[in-house]
Amino acid sequence: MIAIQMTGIRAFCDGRTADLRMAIFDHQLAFLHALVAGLRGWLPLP
Amino acid sequence: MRIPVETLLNGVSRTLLEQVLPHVTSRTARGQLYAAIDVLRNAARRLDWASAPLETEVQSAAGALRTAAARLREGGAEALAARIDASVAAWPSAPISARAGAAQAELARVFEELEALPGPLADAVRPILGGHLAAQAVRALVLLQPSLLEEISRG
Repeated sequence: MIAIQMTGIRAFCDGRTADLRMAIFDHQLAFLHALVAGLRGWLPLP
Repeated sequence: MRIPVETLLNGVSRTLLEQVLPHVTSRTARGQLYAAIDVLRNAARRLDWASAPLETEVQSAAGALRTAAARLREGGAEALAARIDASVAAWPSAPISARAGAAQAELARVFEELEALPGPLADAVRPILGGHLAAQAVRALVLLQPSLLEEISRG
């Protein structure tokens, strides 16, 4: 999922798409980062 | 944030112009939409991401990387420790977005390099970097506005 979102962000940055649903990944990534941190034991999961 | 403000605002302008405007028929609404595009186009070159969150991220990353380097040095991985310290010292002094980008790239690189180290030493270092990443994720989440994902998917 992170790879998909990063691909969307890169496509938006490069001007290959004007689909704003790619742009929202830029701030939505924080949820996945927190999930990964939780799964790794670096952040207590709720 | 990985998308520069200017790129983001120009992308929003382009989408409004190309994908939204053709479907707006009301004269008043079209005028308002053109005005919004005009505002966005002119703001794009004058704005940047707030520096305080980036400063916090860079300081946190630098602290974690220096702590990791010290732990690596204790474990005998002197070359990697020295490379990390040198990298942190060489991050661009400005703009802050470039420093944050350098910090993110260095973290990714170190995680890859840890794969080549003995398991116990790498296992001791990963949580040091992970602590920063976890804290950074929480800091980013705190700044988020209530999500409109449901509306976005519903259309």
